Amino acid sequence: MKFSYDWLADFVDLSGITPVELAEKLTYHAFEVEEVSTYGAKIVGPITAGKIISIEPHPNADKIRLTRVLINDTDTYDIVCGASNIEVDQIVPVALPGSIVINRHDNSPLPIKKSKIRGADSNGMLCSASELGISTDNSNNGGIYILKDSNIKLGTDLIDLLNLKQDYILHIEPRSNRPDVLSHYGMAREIAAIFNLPLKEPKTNINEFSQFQEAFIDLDINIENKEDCPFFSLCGIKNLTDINTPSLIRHRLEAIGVRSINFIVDITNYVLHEMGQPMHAYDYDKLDNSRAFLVRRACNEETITTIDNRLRKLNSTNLVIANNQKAIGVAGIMGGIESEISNSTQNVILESACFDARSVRQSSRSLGLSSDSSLRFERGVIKHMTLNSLNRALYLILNYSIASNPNIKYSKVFQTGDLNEQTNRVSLSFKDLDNTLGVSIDTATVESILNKLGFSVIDKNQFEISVQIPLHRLKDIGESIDLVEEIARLYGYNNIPLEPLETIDHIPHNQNISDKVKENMVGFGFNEIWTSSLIPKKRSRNTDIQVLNPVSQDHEYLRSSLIPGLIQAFEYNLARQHKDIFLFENAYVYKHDSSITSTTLDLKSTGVSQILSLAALCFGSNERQNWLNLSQETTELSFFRLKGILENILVNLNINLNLISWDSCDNEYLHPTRQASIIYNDPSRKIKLGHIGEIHPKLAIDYNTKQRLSLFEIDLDAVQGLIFKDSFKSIANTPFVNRDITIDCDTIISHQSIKWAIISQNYDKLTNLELVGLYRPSDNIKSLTYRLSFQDTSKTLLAQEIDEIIEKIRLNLIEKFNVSFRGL
Amino acid sequence: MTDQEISTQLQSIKKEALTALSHCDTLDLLENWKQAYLSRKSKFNDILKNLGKIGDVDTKKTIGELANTIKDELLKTFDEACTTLNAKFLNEQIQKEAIDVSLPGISYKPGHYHPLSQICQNIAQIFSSLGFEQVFGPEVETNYYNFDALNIDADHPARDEQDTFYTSIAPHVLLRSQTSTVQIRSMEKTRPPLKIISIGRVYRNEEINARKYPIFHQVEGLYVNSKVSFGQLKWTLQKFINAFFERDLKIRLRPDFFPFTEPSAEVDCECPFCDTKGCKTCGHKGWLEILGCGMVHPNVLKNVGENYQGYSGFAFGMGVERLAMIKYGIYDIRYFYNNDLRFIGQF
Repeated sequence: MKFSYDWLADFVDLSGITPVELAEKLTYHAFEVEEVSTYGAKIVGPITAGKIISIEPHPNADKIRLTRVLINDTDTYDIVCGASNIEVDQIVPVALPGSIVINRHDNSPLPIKKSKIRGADSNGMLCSASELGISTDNSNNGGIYILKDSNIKLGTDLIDLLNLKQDYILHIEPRSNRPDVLSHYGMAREIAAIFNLPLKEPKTNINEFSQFQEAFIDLDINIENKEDCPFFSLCGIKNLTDINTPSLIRHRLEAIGVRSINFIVDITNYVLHEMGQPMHAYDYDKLDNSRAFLVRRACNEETITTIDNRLRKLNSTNLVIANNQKAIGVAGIMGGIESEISNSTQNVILESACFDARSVRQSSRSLGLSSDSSLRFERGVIKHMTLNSLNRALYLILNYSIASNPNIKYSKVFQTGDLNEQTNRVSLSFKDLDNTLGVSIDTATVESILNKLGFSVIDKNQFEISVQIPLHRLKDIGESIDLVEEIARLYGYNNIPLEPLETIDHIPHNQNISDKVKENMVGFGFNEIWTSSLIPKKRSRNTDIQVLNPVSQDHEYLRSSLIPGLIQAFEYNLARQHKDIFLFENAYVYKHDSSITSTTLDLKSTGVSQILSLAALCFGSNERQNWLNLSQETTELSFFRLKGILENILVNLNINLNLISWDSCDNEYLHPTRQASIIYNDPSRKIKLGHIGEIHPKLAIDYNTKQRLSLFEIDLDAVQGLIFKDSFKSIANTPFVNRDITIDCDTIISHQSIKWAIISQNYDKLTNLELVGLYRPSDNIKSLTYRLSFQDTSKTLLAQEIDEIIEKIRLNLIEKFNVSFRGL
Repeated sequence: MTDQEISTQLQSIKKEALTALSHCDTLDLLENWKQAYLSRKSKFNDILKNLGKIGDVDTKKTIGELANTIKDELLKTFDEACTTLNAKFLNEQIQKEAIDVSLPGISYKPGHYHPLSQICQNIAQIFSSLGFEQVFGPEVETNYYNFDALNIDADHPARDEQDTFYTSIAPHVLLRSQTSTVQIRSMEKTRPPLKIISIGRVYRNEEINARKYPIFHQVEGLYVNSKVSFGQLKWTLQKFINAFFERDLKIRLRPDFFPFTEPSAEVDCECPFCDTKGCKTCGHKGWLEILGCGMVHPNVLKNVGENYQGYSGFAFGMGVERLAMIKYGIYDIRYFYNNDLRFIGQF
């Protein structure tokens, strides 16, 4: 929101306070001022109103003329002018030598001095609107700014009259709990408290104009539901003439970004930004002259065309103002176009009302329409300002009209509803205040701060103070902590001293599984990625949780796997010429227990489990391109390289690999014969940890490359539950013996089944078993070489003892798998 | 044979042996020489074997001594020859194996942490050293934990402002819009005193641009004890900011509004990149907006039940992406989620 420094100064004396100082104090005691900008160029006088008394052709030029201008009773100036819209007797702005206006070609400062133009003396300049930094008036586009008000006295200083002063705009985003500062008057009240200055009230005394009051109209107001609209007031004005919006009003509105429309509409907007009270004006002649106004909920199928010229379908959430059965405005949001004020409007009904915040919010949402007006009603207008604001609007209209329009009349105010509000008192204990802030603030300071903010002290003793809440703070003040905040911010957050925390009595153990896993993955040459947990439908599974109001279709489902994100990141990088891509992500995935329905769910539960997952993708090699040509890619390398890394991760997490099995699996995006599910088996349980595989060849076609892509994903929460910290085992000094055995078997028999067949027998001298060789003598036979390690911790093993174990192994394997042993 | 003859013979064997030794230029030849001259089957040994037959004790002694001297000398010379030859071979090998040490090393491509990970770990470490325990909370949340328990009532504009994502599960199930949910969940689980931080993902329905992304991360801190003050909050945040930027920076607080804290403040610190002179990072303001904080609102403590009656606390929250963008000078939030290796590789 924009606030005009000049406007604020109407209500609080800002002399001696620069806009920057004001912004700084506001920022540290109330609301952040995001920016201070200037509005309007720096115009320097003397610029006066002058009357053109003659226009002669220039002897040496066609397009410029010689004018003589009278600037007071006696003094005339000869000025050369190039504009074509001037005529004798017009009153125009005259920049005299020494003044500075704006160069309309490049907006730079243009100093005015006596000069000769093509041989003719020119002692100043007649100015256009843009040369004075005011927005171009539609009537004299590009020409000299003709002052319409014929009553202007010659020689009048136009800097003040046209409000040509440079203004400063404070950009402030008031907080949602402070509807009382959504206006210049409200903000000035805050400034007055901070600087300890008196607050000046806006002029609302219409009794000054009592001779213009007349009972020319009788209005009838009905409110269907007092909760939707606690207060509603109207006032009629007749015999308006088309007058220009006074430049002060227009200038200030434009300075804060509000477009000037016409006198009446500008006044209603001005009052909104000055008092914080939204106003509306109806062209009474367009209302079928019906005197009955009804505030009611819209009927279904009812429509209205709002002043933005859009037809809107209404429903029962929309509160409307109806006249003669017909909706003429959406309450608190926008008026209807039929009764819109125009330049030719003569008779007006002004409305100032108090609409319920929730009702306006719902109405605004259902129409998808918000306005300066609805924004204020939604936050809650200050009820007692309603009538004040109506009077203020009336005051301004009369004040600016009567000089040129002695026939103007206004009616009395017609109102329905109650403006009285219950005020509350609130108490604050001085001890609580000091404890909360960590500083002792003396009671006199406390009292003075509360007074400045408009709280009146009802009662006080050495322990506590009781105050009455001012009417404009009923929305955000209700309990003692609210007073603590008010006192703290006026005292100054930055004046509260630092206080060390007491000695740390608890050392957290923060090493978590993620830190460890990430360290490992990075160590293995993987790059960590963070992907969006919201994914598009095409990458989701049909059990994934759907977001009802997604920001886009790319973010519609909550992922149940990290794989889609990995693949997306892979594709992104592949398209950017990366040849070897090693990625991992360690993040949450989300699974909804579909047995829990929304009806069985209590309001504190979601039925969703959040699982910490680790997924990795490898494509190509993680070795650097080397000049020794060491690496040899086979198609299987990708899978086994990734599997090796996963095994290392599990070992580093203290998972016993001998309890992990790599079983068949049917993930549809993985290669059907190159994928495995990773299962943890111990005698008591079987837990699926995840899966690993090469990407399905049909998906890999898109990648247009011969390199293989492998992926795994594991459930780290499940893994964490299996971590077993072994205690130290003493080291045996007896020698160990390695024996290699080579087995020929059918290719369908897996390494895993052979390995398990051996280790499940628990031969106590067999300490390790490792596959050291594999080759395929023919298509359906494979030959596996295992290195068996034997050790007896108490003595040196005899060859005979080892032979006996190997013989048992041989018989066992022959029986189970019909293998043959080479060399035995 | 006479003594004289024997000694002459020994001397001649010695001479012959030394000559032969000087021609041995491989380790095999040296071994053969040793067999020929110093083994049990050597001529030298043959002579010594016959020594026993000499009757005269003095003669026996003289010859014996001579023989031992010669044997020692031969052995010594042999050892020297071995050493020399080994040294020679080693030197040859070394010369032959010369490499161009300036060739590039053979290595694996290093992996990289995502910058957000590094920032999160950094933050967790700093708060850990101040005694804050790291906790985690769910991202799929309920209206209760995301709003109600945090003193944000149904009509509160904050519920509009935050534009929360709702899910198909149930009307009250949403994606949390702030990590403050963890405050409530932690207090429900643990009795005071409580000193936690939680770093996690939050969701807001906002159009994607250089500054905004519908998902981002927050750090939430909470300290509840019998007498916690605003001064302690300021001290804690001052220590954090100094540690995070690795230098002492002034902080300043501005009033702000959060429904779950009161008094509430926004904290700025001096821009560490320009010493408050104004630069691109701080938007030429000289100060950086770092975090929001405040004293835990009494209603929040009330909402978690009687265990927290009579306690007070402070809470703070900050955006991880924002801190990362400041620290590394990243100007577009989308870099964090594109996962371009040219980006991640820089961290």
